[in-house]
Amino acid sequence: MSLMTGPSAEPADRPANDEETLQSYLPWPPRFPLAASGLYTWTLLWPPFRAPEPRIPERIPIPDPGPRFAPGSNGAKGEASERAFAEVSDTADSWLFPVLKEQVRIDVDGRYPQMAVSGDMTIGFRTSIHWIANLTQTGSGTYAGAIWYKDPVTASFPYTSVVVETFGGWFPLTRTARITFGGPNVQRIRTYRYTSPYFHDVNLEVDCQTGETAAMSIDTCAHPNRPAALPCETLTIPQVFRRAGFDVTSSPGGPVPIAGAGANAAWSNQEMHDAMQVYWSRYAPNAQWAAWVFFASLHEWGTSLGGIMFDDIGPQQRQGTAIFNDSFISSQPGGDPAPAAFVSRMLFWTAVHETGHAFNLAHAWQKSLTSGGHGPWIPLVDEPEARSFMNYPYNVNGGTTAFFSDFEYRFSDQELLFMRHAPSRFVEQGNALWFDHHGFQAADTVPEPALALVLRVNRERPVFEFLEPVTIELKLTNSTTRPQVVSERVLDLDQGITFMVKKDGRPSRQVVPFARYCLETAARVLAPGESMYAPLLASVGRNGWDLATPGNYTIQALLHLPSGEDIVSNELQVRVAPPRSFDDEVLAQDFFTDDVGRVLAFEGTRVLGDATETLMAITEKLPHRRVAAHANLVLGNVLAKEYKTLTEDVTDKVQPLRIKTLPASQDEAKERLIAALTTAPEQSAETFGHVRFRETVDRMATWLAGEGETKEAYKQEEILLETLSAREVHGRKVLGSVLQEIKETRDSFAPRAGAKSRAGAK
Amino acid sequence: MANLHVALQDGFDDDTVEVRIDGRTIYRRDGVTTLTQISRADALDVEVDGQVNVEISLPRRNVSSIVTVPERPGGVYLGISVVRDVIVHRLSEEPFGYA
Repeated sequence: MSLMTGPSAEPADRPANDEETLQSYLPWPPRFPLAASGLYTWTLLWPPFRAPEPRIPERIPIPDPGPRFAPGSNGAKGEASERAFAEVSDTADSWLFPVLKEQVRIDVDGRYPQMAVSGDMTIGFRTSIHWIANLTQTGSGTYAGAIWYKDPVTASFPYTSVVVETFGGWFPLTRTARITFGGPNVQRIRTYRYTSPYFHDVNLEVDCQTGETAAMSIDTCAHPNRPAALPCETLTIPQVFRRAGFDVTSSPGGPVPIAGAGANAAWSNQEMHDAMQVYWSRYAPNAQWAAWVFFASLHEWGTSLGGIMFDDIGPQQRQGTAIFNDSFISSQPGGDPAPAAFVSRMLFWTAVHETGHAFNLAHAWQKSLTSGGHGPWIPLVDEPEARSFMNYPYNVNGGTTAFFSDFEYRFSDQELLFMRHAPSRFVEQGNALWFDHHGFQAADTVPEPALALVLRVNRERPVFEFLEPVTIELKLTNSTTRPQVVSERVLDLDQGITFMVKKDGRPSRQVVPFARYCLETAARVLAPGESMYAPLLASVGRNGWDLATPGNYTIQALLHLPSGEDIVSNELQVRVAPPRSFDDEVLAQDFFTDDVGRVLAFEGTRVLGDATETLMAITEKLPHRRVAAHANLVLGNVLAKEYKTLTEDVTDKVQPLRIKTLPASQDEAKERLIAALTTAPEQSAETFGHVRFRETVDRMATWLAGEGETKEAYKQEEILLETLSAREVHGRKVLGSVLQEIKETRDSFAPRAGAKSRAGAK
Repeated sequence: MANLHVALQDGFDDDTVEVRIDGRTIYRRDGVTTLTQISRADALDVEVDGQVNVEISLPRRNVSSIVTVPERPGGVYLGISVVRDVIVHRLSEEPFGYA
């Protein structure tokens, strides 16, 4: 139900209850009808409990959930209800690693049901797939709907619909949910055990500045201006969030001395952040379902600021909020029939509002806003008139009087959908940055994309040596039965690709290319099943070296097509190994610089002297390491031909700028290029990736042939052919068509009878 | 003379902002960005005499807007926001509150 349309559908005479939860599961006597909503779990180590029939009884009428799924259109519902508990094995799911754990959040009844179900699937030890489906009730305890959100969009999860069947009785242990996943020629059934009426646990620790009090509860009927049907109760902040689906525990803290606010006795954001680190007992540099709520007197900006989610500093954000008791929220409005109750209500509203920001909720009128590159997790509608905690009561038409006459102390449906069903990292405190994923900007994907984008590395284990530049291979495949037309440069970083790198525990970073090229590009037709490939240097860009220090990284790409459709790649996990020696660490200080990054990206320089010296030191001190191959490649490239530089003659006042041509140094170029590419070809193929390895050997061979060294060119292509013919990664060999092309290239350099070689050529 | 409070509120994203009153520049700043959790970027107070025309410009986005602010002895509060590259405003006789 949208808050923009009117009061709740709940019965007006529903009793108030201080211990109210999302649903009650007391066996007898039942205070509330049973409900199916809640958290259900399946784990690999504990198979699901197989509960007998009957189903959970129907509850009160279900609100309209929105877009509907036609029951039975996936063919699964009727069959599943007749079948015994037939589970699809994990091997049939075709995942490389077993599915270890799954959780689903069924949201079909109870408080403010969103008629949705969402799930998380943990594959192996790292990969997680999140999905969301709308639901329509199709029978007693049975719901069906289309999956409209997947994160990531991956071929490993091809399902497009679900049928949810709930079973069990009064006792929670007997409750299960069986979900049939349907899709094009695929089906999967899983039974989950009921775990909790709540979707997440969260702790709120409350501290007060010395002498201040915490507004943790409100008498909902203390002020006469309220909805007529509003239940009279003492509503607490934890209860508000329990009704949103969170099992909130609040732990009282202690007094925070005003001295922390400095001489002006008013708090700055930094001072509050410092206080949070000192006084919050759970403070830790990691994401957790917990937040610190601080009641203080005044912010340094004065009485106009009633509260703030101040924690937008550092990598872990949204863990601290503050409410200022002496600000405008404590001003009693003239002529109000119950000014003290008005103030209590404003204090309570502010406290929940700020805590809502800790859950990454934006203001009601900002839902579609993108700021600083961060926007909503899915396309959202602004709700400037919403009667939600996340709106300003004084900003709606009619002001606070109109707002509170219609306010039921709740969040809007859009907000509840986000809090309950968005990927937890978007909501969890300390995880996604503030406003990032109110979200990470949602991709405009379609359920069955015509193109599939895969990121991969050409090695058995995705582990890179310290200092080794990380080259990723992009593969774009036409996954339809019709030809697809794309730009020839569609996989270039400066075109439609957005490339993200995220180190564990750190925010995502976008790899921004050093240059953008304005080129006339040709179209390319991908036949059904055909793929195109491109290498990409993932370690460094204009934003700096984001894939460098030892640790685990997640890499993902989004291809934005001219049609407006987004193609999201798989999440590729890679690891950077620690330094092997003291030399590594010393060289790293000069290697991880913007200049060296540019040199690697542009494949050479003859003017950035410091970067050149660093790369030469790499080749001298670490000659057998993979980074040396990259260094030799860029050093050799620029020596292979004449090089134009721009110089300045300050004595010439008329035309000071000159173009100076530096001569080639073919012998050194050849030595370095061969050292980079074919002295240790197996290693080079792995570190450059197959596509770039082939491209650079081809380029070197063409250059050698142009220098009159066709025999050497033939030899280099022969090494390329032998190396790639022998390569096999995860059972995958280089395409025969590619090997054939290399063979033809090699043969084009075959020495001809009577051909002369360059004088002095080796 | 009365106080005119100009509040830069929603939608500012590393913008250069200029504020002129009756043609006189009273504010120019780069990098103006809304703190989205309170919907406020910056604010300024200026004493004005009678009705004035307040021009707000965002040169980088090539947008500007002129607001006629009436005279109010108790002071006027002018809130400026940017919504999809359009400058919108609201006038109030009460101070703005942020949370």
